[in-house]
Amino acid sequence: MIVAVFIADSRQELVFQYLVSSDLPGYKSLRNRIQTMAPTLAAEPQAGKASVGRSMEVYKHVSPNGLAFWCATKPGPTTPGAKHPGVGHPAEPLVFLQTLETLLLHYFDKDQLSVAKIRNNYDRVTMLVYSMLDAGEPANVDLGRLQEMVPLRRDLAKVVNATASSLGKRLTQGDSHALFALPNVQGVSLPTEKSVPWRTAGLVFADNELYVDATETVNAVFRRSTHGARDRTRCVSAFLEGTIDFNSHLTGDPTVLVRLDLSGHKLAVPALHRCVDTQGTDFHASRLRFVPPDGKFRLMRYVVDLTPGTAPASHQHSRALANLGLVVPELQSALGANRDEFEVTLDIAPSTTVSAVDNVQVALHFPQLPSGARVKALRTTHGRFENSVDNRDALWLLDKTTSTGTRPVLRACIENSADDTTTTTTTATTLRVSYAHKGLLPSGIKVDAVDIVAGLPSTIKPFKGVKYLVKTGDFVLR
Amino acid sequence: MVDSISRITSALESAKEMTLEAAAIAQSKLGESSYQRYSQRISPQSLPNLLNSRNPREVKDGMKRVVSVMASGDEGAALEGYFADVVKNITSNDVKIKRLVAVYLQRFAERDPNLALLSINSIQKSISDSNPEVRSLSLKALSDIRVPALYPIILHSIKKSMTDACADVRSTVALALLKIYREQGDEVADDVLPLTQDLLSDADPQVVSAAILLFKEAFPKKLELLHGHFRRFCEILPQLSEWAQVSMIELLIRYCKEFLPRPQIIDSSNPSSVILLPSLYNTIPFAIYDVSLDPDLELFLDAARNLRHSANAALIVSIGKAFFYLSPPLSFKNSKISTALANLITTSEQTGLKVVILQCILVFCSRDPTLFQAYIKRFFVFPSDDAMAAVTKIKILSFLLTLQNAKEVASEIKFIILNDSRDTVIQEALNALAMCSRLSQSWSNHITRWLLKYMGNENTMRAMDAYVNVIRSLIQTDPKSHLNTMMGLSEILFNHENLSATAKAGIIWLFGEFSEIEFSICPDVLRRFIQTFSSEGREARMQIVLLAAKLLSRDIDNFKNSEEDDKEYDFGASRLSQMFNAVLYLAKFDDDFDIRDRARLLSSLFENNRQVIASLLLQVPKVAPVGMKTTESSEMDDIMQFSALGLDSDIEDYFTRIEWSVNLGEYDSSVREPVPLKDYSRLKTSFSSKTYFGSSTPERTTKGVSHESSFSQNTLTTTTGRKYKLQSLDEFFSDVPAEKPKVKRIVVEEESSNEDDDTETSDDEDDEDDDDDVSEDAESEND
Repeated sequence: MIVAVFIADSRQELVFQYLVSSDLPGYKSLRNRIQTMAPTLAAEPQAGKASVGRSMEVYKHVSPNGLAFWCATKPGPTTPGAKHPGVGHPAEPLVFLQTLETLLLHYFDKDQLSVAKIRNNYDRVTMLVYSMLDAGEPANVDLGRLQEMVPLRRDLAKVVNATASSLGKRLTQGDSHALFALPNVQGVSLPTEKSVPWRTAGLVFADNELYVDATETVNAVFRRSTHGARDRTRCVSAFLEGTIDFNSHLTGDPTVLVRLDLSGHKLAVPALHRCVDTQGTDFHASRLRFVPPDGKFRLMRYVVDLTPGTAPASHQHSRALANLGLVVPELQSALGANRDEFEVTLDIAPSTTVSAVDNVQVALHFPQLPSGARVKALRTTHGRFENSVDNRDALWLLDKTTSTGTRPVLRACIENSADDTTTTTTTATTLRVSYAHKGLLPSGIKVDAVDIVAGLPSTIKPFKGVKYLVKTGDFVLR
Repeated sequence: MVDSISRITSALESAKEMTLEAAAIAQSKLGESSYQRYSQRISPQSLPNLLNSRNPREVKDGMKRVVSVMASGDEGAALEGYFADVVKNITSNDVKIKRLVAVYLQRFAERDPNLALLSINSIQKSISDSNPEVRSLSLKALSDIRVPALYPIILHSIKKSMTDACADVRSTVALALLKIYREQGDEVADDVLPLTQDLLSDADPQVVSAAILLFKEAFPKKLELLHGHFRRFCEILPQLSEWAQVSMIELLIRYCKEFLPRPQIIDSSNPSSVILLPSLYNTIPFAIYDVSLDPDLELFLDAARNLRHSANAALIVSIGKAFFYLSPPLSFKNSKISTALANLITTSEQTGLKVVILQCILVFCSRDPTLFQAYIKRFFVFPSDDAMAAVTKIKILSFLLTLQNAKEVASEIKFIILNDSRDTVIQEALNALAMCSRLSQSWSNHITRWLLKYMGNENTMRAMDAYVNVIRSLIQTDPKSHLNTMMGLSEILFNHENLSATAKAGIIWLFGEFSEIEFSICPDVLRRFIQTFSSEGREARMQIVLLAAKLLSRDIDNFKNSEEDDKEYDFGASRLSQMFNAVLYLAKFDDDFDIRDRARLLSSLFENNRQVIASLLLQVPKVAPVGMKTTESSEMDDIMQFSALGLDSDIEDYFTRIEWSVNLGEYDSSVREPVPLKDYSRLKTSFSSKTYFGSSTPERTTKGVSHESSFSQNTLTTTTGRKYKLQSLDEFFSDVPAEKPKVKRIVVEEESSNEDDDTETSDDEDDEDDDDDVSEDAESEND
């Protein structure tokens, strides 16, 4: 049973708190308790759980921008046969916190939740949490339903912005007739019967639009092994994590069919939003048929395993490389006259759809170097090289955009100390590469079509948009 | 329209009393941050004025301020002081204000029960409001007030709302009952139980969702109440809320264990040999087998499997548990739930969820490693894994180890040992390496060589205790082939300057034990330590004393064995005895009283012919360290193994063993005949499933031949059902003839499950029709 919800910022200062009773400890006393009883959980940006006292557990979830979501639970009755007082499902509180985060993001229609946003909307966030929880159980986590209960304030600034943008849109479209039409963003919801529990009934929009964001995160580990003169790289494990997010504002109760080109991948058991009909006989991951909830939601999350445990190693390597995206790192050591230099090469493949890769970074990690030794960059074709203070990490920062089809190279060595110019033959132990780009998914998965097969008046032609994003997770060469 | 007019009037009203402050308000409407600035300027003194204002806008501003202070955790603000001012606004017509007051009441009502009572009347009144949202909110607010004197009133209001036409209200009723039960416990159990039963048989999945939470917490042992609902619950599982799905699966797992017959395992090569599902997961003696499940169990497992596409991690874990508890490994694999679980852990987000899921996978793996063999690479440690996740991953890897994948896994583990910066992770990796060495003799040799090679590495130094422990376990399991290792160790012992005392102690201890196998090398180790005794660390000194005693005792025994006649061991002439005495002498002056004490104890053992006791004490064969994997599997071992996994206590509880019921002698599946449903939504307008997936709904498939016959009947009942939409329930019951045989009824139920499968949650109404029909049928049979 969840008795308290807290949101804290990255400096561990309280941003928001919700307590169901006045005799519960507030954030400050709870934080002190956590710091003494579970210091690891309190200190780092670490998520997890800890027990504070006999009858209270705290759970922590960290959002990508560093906000910490906490909740405190009290044990329910003991499950028959269990040794300890019943804490229920071990994953539930954490899933709740995750749900709360995504729900707030979708509610405020943001990509990141800022502290100011929460502070400015204390009443709304409180009411949302109040409506979500009943009897300490997450009774209602449906965004559409919560939006009905806690309508979002559309203040004047937003109306002005919406008007300006729609005017701009219409001017560029040259549609002068519609210039003075009301920029009615959200229609009046009529008290009609709901067709599906997750969709608000009777929605009417002036601008019907739907957007699909397909994102893939590249995770790969390469291992370097030195065989004779040449270094060989081998892929240890690689997988792509994909999500398809949907954002739609459509009139009525439309049925949408998203057709995906899976380009030969078998998406084994993707996680789907509950609106997708998975029970039908014609269900396939490449044909998703659903009545979308209004607004943003995550349609699908899938994993493409590029190195399945059973395939032979040589085959795995080529298959992984074929789908790993545009950037492949290489590291050559024992170069130069004294065989003490090393070279990092990024192979950014040419592409017809992607012109540039953004924010390329290579973090180099070194073994413990003798004191006074430092990494010295001899030559960089792109960007700049930064040494860290503790001398075990260095960063090669490329320009904001690096065009595809190039081969940035960094050549460096390790100098023992400032006055002594002799060098050691040590090289970096790990390279961690990160980048992002748009326009093409490494797996080759594409959204073939987004059709509205039923439920939308035929006069309405919704605006459709598809966006592909690629970013890196654990992309490591070692 | 009316709304906007009232807004305009209120705006005009406020314009009358336009002051500077009002201008500020007007300005604040521009954006939320400026509103926030305005809100923050509301002084504690002016707050009561706002709260008591007649202008709803001002009341709202006041309430927002109150809630903002609550949310900001400002402990200085004495919010209790505004109790009366806040609570009187519960009568407001604005739902938002009501909700804000309810939030306040929930938190502060106990502080001032007398004042809280004042609000009860108006809250109770709004329970019969025409707006279902208000009704539901009021009920929630009322049950949130934890004042014992109120419980009879609340219970009364709850009973009144039981038959509310709106499903929202009825589900609030279920949760209100849960709150009362939590406060009052068994005192109200008699009142709550019949209401719970009614709620469970509600036709609306939303109400069932809430009722299941109530049932799970209040009556976890009264599983027999689920008899009549079991089949329907399996059917409507996809329509429940995500959280209720989790609870429902947990509940039905226990139900199945209690009331359903154990699955049978049939040997494929020899169909005549049939056994019951063994209580230990991975102990099915057949290489290839078929599973025969009770139809009801199959219904449940199918329903659970169909949810495997859910995005809710808790649900996936529960489905895994259902298959793990109720079916053999074969069904677990076929359900593809391993894939769904493995997909969950790939996310690189910072969530503690990953550890929870990994621990669940660890439990599954520890029972049958083949379940996750195909996903072994997902359990390689990534740089973004936190310590807990990494440790659990390594534990899983050590279960998944086979000769085929050992090369790859071992090289991963070695990398972790040499490069990871977290001690716990290195320790676990070392344990995993020990597991590797058990695969074969050549692996064992390889691993020992590797361990010795990297003993002085910067990273391994940090986990030296674990390191020595692993070497010790390796040598102990097969000491004979490890002479070289011991030689290597002695070299490390003397050539490594910064070896910690505990590490040294471990190695010295190892020499003491090794003396049994190869005595000749050990005295030399002791000899060299006598010279450096005083400079060794405390643990090392202790072990040196012990080593001396062990060697002496061993030497005496060796002497006795070699000499046939009863010649006395000559303490004076023995080199070892001299060394022992030297050590004792050194220990006499030790700082540590424990070492002095130990030395005296040991010296007394060798006096007055007590050597037999000495050899008994000092040469006890030591048990090899318990590894995680044992080959034999008895029930006891099973439990032991489970606790050796090092799981969090909540996960350990979550996987508490549930035994299959043994006395199902009077087993009768007819107890699961559906019971009548409560349908309060008869006044709602109907809609068909066509609105959901448009006209092109795919043709529904029937599962088997037996279903064919009932297909036409099913459509018939659906159409007749729709016809009765506007009749009252009684009329409805009295009208339909009830000659249809019972057996066919069950089939109809299953048919409608298919229908649900196709159309998921949209066709509640359709479904209700069927359910109505069934209930009516059952009722007429009772007549």
